[in-house]
Amino acid sequence: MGENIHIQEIMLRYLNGEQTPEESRQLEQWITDNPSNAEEFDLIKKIWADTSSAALIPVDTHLAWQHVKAKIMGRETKVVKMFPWKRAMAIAASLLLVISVAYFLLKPKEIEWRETFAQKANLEIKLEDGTKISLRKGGKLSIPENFGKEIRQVKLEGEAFFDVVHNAQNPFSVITANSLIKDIGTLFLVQSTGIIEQVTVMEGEVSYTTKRETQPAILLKAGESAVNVKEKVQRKNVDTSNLISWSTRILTFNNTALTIVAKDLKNYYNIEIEIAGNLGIHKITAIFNNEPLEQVIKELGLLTGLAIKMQGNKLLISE
Amino acid sequence: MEEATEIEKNFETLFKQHYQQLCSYAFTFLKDAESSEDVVQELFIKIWEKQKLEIGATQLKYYLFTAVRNNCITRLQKNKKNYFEELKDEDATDEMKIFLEKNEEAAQPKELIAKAMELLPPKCREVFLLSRLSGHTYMQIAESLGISVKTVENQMGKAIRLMKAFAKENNIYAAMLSFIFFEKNLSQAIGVFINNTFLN
Repeated sequence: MGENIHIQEIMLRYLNGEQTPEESRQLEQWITDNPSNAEEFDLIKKIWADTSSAALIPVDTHLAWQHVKAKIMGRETKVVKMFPWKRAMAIAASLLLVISVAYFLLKPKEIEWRETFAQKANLEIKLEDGTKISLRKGGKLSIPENFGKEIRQVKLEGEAFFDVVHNAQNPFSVITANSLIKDIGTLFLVQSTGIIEQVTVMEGEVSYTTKRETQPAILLKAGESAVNVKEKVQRKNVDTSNLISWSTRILTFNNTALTIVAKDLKNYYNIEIEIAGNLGIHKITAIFNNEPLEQVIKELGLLTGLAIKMQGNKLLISE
Repeated sequence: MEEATEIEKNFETLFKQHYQQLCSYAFTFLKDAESSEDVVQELFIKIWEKQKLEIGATQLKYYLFTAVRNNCITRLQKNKKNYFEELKDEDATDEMKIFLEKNEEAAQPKELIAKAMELLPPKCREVFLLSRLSGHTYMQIAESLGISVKTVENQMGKAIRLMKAFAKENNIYAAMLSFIFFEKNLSQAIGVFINNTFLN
């Protein structure tokens, strides 16, 4: 019975596309073990397939879409025959409407900010101008209600990666607690998680200044960072290779020193790392594609021949 | 302007891809096709108004099912039907067999399967139907329903066991099964024949 439940769990994970390679192998083995197993598997497969279609209720998706579209476009098309006097009233009513709309348009409006939180996971956001933003878990992005028309400006708390569609007439800018960043068509990362704020450019150029514009703007090129600590801005060169691994889920190391590898792993897996002695000079070449930490530890052990193990939230690397 | 049309297109795709599944999911709570469609349409209109910027975001698709569930529960509560009351006695029906009245005149397998799903214990049905309609991973289902991944896995297992027992009891896949039996018996028969003929 226990065995049966176990294999059944594997079957369901398999049907849901969540099985591990090891489980696929086990399942295949089990199916070939005995023809009645194969039969059992066929039956479950059939039920699995039929339950998703049997649960569907008949709807007219096309009609429903017409309905929703009419509502969101604000033009529910109704053909109504009007008598002349009704028509006159309709004209008067629409004049009134035009006047009130004009009033609202001309009235200086306070900008309304729409806030987006990345509470549980990283969030991919696409703006109306085609700009793509990866907001790291824990971050908050505020976008003005009228984004794109006259201004392209967003506010950021936390960390986000920007892939900006360039428009010379209407430049894109990011405001953080202490910084003002203007793009010149580009990919860049903004980290605003504490007193230290850092802006790093991967592609293109960015104009950087402190929020209060206490210093003249500096131009950052690809591979350059501006680090702002209490209104003091420093420019430095940075290795951008794993900076946005939290968004791409890929860590790449190309003959990289173990100390740097440790820093990237620490950032990605949110763990502490301790390297004994001068082992940090070991060089690593590897690509980790969203692999679980245990797998990474195993591979690093194989690559370096060092003893690597977790102790609590700390990764210990020793001879 | 061009960008606006792209958002419109994404929105239309999102709607058309998920509309039937979402309505069917709403139906599992509301048991009424018209109000199910209402809930889903209202949700999409709200998304357009409030979350236009996130259309196309991967999270959104996952959020849709959770939102439909919440809106259905709100609607049920408004109508003074207590949905949670219904869920309480789930353990009474726990591993009980699903029985169907025997008066069906040669119903189609799919109709029978649909009825059998109706008869699953409530919590079990909720997990199973969300899985089958949304195609979410166990993890996403767990988050959406606020339960553990292990519970999702257990309920899925329970659902499939009950459905399987039901299918066998009612001979739903009789044609398919007898074919398999036939094939097996035939190959056995051939084996016997070969053994008898050539090995002696």
